[in-house]
Amino acid sequence: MGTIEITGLTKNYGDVRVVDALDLSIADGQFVTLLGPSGCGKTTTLRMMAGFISPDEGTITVDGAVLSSPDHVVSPENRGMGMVFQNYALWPHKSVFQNVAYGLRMQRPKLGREDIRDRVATILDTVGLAGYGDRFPGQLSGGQQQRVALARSLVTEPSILLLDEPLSNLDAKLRDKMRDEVQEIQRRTNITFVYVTHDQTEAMSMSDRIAVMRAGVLEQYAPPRQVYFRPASVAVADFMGLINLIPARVESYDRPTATAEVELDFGARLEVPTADGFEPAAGEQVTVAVRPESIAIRSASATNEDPVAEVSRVMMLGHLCYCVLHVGEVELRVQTDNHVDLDRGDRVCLDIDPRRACAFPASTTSEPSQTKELV
Amino acid sequence: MTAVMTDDQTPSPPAERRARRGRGSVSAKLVLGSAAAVLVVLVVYPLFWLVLGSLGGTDTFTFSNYLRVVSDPGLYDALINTLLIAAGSCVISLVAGVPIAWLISRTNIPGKGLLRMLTSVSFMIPGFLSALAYVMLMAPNNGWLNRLVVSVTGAERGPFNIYSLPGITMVTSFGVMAYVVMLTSAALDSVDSGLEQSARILGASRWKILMGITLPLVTPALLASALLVFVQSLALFGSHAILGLPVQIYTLPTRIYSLFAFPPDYGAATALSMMLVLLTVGCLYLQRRMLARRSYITTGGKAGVHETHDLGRLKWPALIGCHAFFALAVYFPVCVLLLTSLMAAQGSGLTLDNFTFDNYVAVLFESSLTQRAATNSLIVAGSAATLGVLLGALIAYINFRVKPRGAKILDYLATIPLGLPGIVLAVGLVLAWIRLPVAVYGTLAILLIAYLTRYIPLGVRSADSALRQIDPSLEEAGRISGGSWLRSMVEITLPLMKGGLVAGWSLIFVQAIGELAVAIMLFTVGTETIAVVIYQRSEEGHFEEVAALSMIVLIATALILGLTRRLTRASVTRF
Repeated sequence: MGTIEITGLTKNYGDVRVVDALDLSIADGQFVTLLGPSGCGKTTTLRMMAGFISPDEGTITVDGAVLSSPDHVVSPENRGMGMVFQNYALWPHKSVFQNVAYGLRMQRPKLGREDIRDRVATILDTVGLAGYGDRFPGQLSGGQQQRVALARSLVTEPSILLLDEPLSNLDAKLRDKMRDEVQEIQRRTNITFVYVTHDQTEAMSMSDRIAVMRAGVLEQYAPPRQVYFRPASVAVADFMGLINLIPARVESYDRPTATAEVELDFGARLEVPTADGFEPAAGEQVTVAVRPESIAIRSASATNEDPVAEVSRVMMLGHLCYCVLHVGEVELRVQTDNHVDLDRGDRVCLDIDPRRACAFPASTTSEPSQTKELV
Repeated sequence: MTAVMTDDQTPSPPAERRARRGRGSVSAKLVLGSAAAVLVVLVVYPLFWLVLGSLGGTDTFTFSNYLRVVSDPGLYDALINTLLIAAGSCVISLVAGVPIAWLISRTNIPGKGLLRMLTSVSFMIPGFLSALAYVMLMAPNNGWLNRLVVSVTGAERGPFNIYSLPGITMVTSFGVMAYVVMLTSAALDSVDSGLEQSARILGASRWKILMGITLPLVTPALLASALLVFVQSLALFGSHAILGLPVQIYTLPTRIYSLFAFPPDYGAATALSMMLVLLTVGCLYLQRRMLARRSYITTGGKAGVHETHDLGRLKWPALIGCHAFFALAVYFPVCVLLLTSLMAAQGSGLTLDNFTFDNYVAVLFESSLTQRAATNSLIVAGSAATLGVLLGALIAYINFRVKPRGAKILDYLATIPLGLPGIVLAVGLVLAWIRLPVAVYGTLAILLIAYLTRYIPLGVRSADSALRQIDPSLEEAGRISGGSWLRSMVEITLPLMKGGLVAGWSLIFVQAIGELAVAIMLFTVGTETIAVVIYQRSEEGHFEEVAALSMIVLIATALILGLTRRLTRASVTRF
């Protein structure tokens, strides 16, 4: 049993509303990720779940019992949760065995020494550190420390495990490997995992559902595919990966299919799905969001076809290519495979997959964020 | 939920676990709350009685004490003397300390480790022991140096008289010069080397860089240390008493002390104490302002390794100069005490006939007074150190981790004792506890309370620096694993603070052993400390035994410090 019900959760630090009326429902055995940029409130939310911070408004209910409310917060040691910290927080003066056994020693009724030893041995084996019991954290590599932290949090068989960006201190290759292992452990134990990260790749590859947060507000709470392909807003779309935002004008809107006939700024006409709950009127300005991989580049096919896009930059990244193109005033990023042969100044045609595009209300800044990492 | 391991153990059902609501936070509140309460009682209570006493005590409210004190001609002499001594010791400390600090930090002078150690030793030698050593050396008639000069030159009398203002100033400066060295070398180390290197590239000479860039950058720290020296010198009762009282040279601390001679004049004593406190607090406030300005030393660049200047041929004169100073500050006093302790009769000179261990035997085995005093000193110093460090750890924890709304007040309270000279604290404590039915006054307990109050700032400071190195997530990990707050403190936080706590313990212990002002005000027959016995014996003229006792104190101090240094080095790798 590890269901979490968060209702109206709010936390202020001075004038800043760090978490703003958050409603979130996490089912038993789920892997849920709180995803967002720094300062979005995800870590604060996690720490409120753990009981380290008390909410200003709202409640956190676990398995039907209210654990956190503005008047009363059940202390962290009595919540039946485990936590993995970003810096692992291994106690340097205790051995690996002592680190892992700590939680077992705290349990009441008291566990026998043999029992504790067995359980520690088993969990160390599970995380691949059999025989490391006598070592000290200072003697371990980053990846090994991470596993000890995991082992320590799992050995007490909590119903809920909270993870605060546990992989961010690891190098890329190790991170990939640990990602798989963490996911595997969650599948096997069926413990409810609440995972915090700012890395959308991590979130998408591991989660059952992603809660995208921004400035303390929950923007979208849905499975990874939905968040990626049907983002709730331009902001979510932008955070989840590179996105092209094209200004367009609505010709007509079809309610039953929730699609709109739009004319893009540079002339092309498409029939695209609209964002959830968005019902534009004819003539309204909208923003059409489309991912780089949903646009195809080709040379002009028919003689009366005008290659409208001009290549301004080609970035070869190894396994794929990003081309930056200009069509009229609009700048587009298009993903192509890595043996494309284009130069600056070439003129090409574009094919946009309308099923993969989405129309949003026109935002004040339709600039895709330039600072987004490419991989 | 499938268990990760075998199903033998059923953990306590969730509902029961949650029923143990918030017990952890109750024990935290209790422990931390009582620590804060103890601090308030320790610091506020004597201060309150001090202020009250100066304003007329419980009978009346009057400013007459202040008026009396201000119109007493003797006071001005005492005040002037005190200021002269403090100023003089400032000058000596700066003149000696700054070059020594620079030589240690920035040049290739040989034997840096030795120089650093000598600085620490000069700090650790109790002030009154230095004073006594110099009495043996430079007393007008019997002082060794005087007798040496007389026998060599045939003059009537030797030129040295330690019973003088310059004498007091010199001896006082030896004990406080370490502040200048330590603070100045810390500041020198933290100067961004880029600032100096860019001047070099632009063609400035080494001397110009030193005068025009380095020293100005270091000046705030320099001035701060000078103020600290000033404040400490104001109140160094030991040297003021031993070198001033025999010739009626009064300073504020000794004047306060003499006002307690029968019949005691509490009114004047408290008024005078308040004036001393105001002087001290004023200087400390200035010092804090100075230190706040040092931010521009390290911003915008890496501190760290600077180039060391090659002194070339100046190496040896510089070394001799340093050791000449330490000869006065350390070598001479220690040697005199050592030699005198091994003599049967001080006046008979350094001959083999005069050599004996009898003094040590007498003080260690034959005198119940010294044995009792030694035991008292160990008990009081040990307890004060232990309690001071524990209390300091809890206060530091409140300030640093919990940060409740009243934290600033607690911080100020913990720092106030720094501004209370020992003699003043003693006055406050006498007034505070003398009227209570509880038989605290006249027992070791009052000494313990006094030392605890006096040395809390040291405890808090060492605990604070130790605590800063521990990431809060370590405690949080302990709590989420199921351990209570108290458990986390005991198993995680305190062990990780061990190094800092041990260092703090030894610092308090050493200071308490060598403390005179408070002990001499608060002792009664049976609760003398070793410092008191040494002082009394020296007044009676038994210098050989005094020297033996002094050597025992010095050796004990050195042992404790050496032991703690080894302990802290051997501690588990810190986070």
